[in-house]
Amino acid sequence: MKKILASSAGIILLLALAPVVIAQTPTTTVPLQKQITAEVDVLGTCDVGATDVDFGTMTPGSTSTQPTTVSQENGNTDGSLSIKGADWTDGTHSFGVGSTAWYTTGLPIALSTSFASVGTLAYATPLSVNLQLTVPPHQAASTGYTQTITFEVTC
Amino acid sequence: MKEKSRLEKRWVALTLPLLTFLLLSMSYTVSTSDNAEIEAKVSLIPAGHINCVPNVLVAGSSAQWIICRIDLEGADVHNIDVNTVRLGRTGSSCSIPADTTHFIISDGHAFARFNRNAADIHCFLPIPGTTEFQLVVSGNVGTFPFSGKDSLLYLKSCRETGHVHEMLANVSTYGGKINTLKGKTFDLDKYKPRTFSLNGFFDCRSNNRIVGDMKFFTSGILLEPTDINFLGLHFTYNKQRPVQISVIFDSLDNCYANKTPYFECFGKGTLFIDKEQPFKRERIDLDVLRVESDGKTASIQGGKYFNDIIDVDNLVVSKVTVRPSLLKK
Repeated sequence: MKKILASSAGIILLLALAPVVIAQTPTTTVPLQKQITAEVDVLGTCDVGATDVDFGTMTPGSTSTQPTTVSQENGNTDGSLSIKGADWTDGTHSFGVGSTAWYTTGLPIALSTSFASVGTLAYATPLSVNLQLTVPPHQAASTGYTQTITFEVTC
Repeated sequence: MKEKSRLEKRWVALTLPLLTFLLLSMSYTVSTSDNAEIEAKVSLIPAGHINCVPNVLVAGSSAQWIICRIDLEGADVHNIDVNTVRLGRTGSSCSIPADTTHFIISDGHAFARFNRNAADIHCFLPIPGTTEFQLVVSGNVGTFPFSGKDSLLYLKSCRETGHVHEMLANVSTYGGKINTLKGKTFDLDKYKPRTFSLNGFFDCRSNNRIVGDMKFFTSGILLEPTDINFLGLHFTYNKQRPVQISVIFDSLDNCYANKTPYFECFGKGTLFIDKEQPFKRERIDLDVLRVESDGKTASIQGGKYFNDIIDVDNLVVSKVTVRPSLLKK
C-alpha cells in the first residue's frame, strides 16, 4: 500500500513537472508564411487646366491665331474635352463670342456660349487648341478687350 | 400581424443586398468633371485705309501735292490729330507732315495733302528708273495710332522705255453715275442726266511737261419746282430746265498712260453749270481734278481737296488710244 502511494506520488510529480521540463526543452523554429492579396480600386479622375491667350494688338477686320495648351495636372484618366466662351468686352464696347474660333486640326469652328466637344484630353498628354480671332470690321478701338473661355473635361 | 412582420423582414433581407450592390456599382460608373476658365485678351487699334492720288507720279511734273483720303475703322476721323499725320514710305524713315491748313473732313472721310517737293527730297528721289513705292500715312486718333498704305508708281521720265504717253479718249454716251455734284443752285437729286461724254488727249514732252486737253460733259434736265397763280389758283409743278455741266482741265499737271490701256490725269480745272431758260452760269474752281480710266470705264473726281464737288464714276468709255509720243529733237 505504501508502494502504491509512493509510486502514485511519483507519477503525479512527474505529471506536474512535465510542462516545466517540456518548456525548458530547446525548440525548433518552423517559419510560417501566409500570402495575402491586397486589392484596391483606384477611382479614375480627370481635371483640366489651360493657359491664357494674348492676341496682342490687332486692327478691325484682321485675323490672328494663338494656341492655348490644355492639360490635366492630377488626372489619371482620359476625359472628354468641351469648350465654350462669352462675348468679348472692354466694359463699354463688345463683340460676339463667335468672333473667336477654335480648332485642333481641320477647319476653325466658331466659339459659342454652349459647350462644344473638342475631343479627348489624355491625362498624360497636353492638347494644343488653336484660338483664331477675327475682329469685326469697324469695331471700336480699345486696349482692354477680354473674353472668358471655359474648358470642361468629363470622365 | 406576425405574418406581416415576417414578410417585411424577408423584403428587407432581399432588397438590402440588391440596393447595396446598386450603390456600389453606381459609385464606379458616376462621371466626374472639371472645368477651367482662361482669359483671352486683345488690344484693338484703328485700321487705316489710305487712298492717295495721283497713282502715278512723274519726276519733274507740275503736281504740287500728294492728296490722301484717310478712312478709319474703329475710330472717328474727327478725332484725328492733324499735327501727327505724316506721309512716309516703307523702307525709309522719311516723314513728311500733312498740310495742317488743308486737312479736311467730309462725309466721314479725312483728306490730307502732303507737299510733293518735300516728299521728292526726303522720300523718293533720286530713283534709278521706274520705282513702285509703298506710301505710309500714319498719325494718331485719340490715344491710338493708325496707319495705312497705298502704292505709288514713280516714273523717272514719262518717256521711259515701255511707257507710252499719248492718249485719246472719245465720247462716252452711256453709263455714268454722278455721286457728287455740288453747286450753289444745283440740286443733284433733281438732275436727270441724258448724255455723258469724256474726251481729250495729252502728250508727254521730253521735259516731262504735259500738254493736252480734257473735258467731261453731261447734259440733262433739272426738275425745278415752279409756282404759278392762275385765276387766283395756286399751282406748283416741276419745270424741266435744260442743263449742261462741263468740267475742263485748266492744267494737266501729271498724266500717265500705258497700253493696258490705262490713263490718269491730275491737275486743276473748272466746273461750269449752265442752266437754260433763262441762261444762268455757275462757275466753280476745282483745285484738284483727276480723271482715271482702265480703258473700259472712267471716273472723275474734283473739288477743293479731292472729290468734294464732283465725283462721277462708271463712265463707259471706248476708243481709248494710247501710242508712243513722237520724239522731238
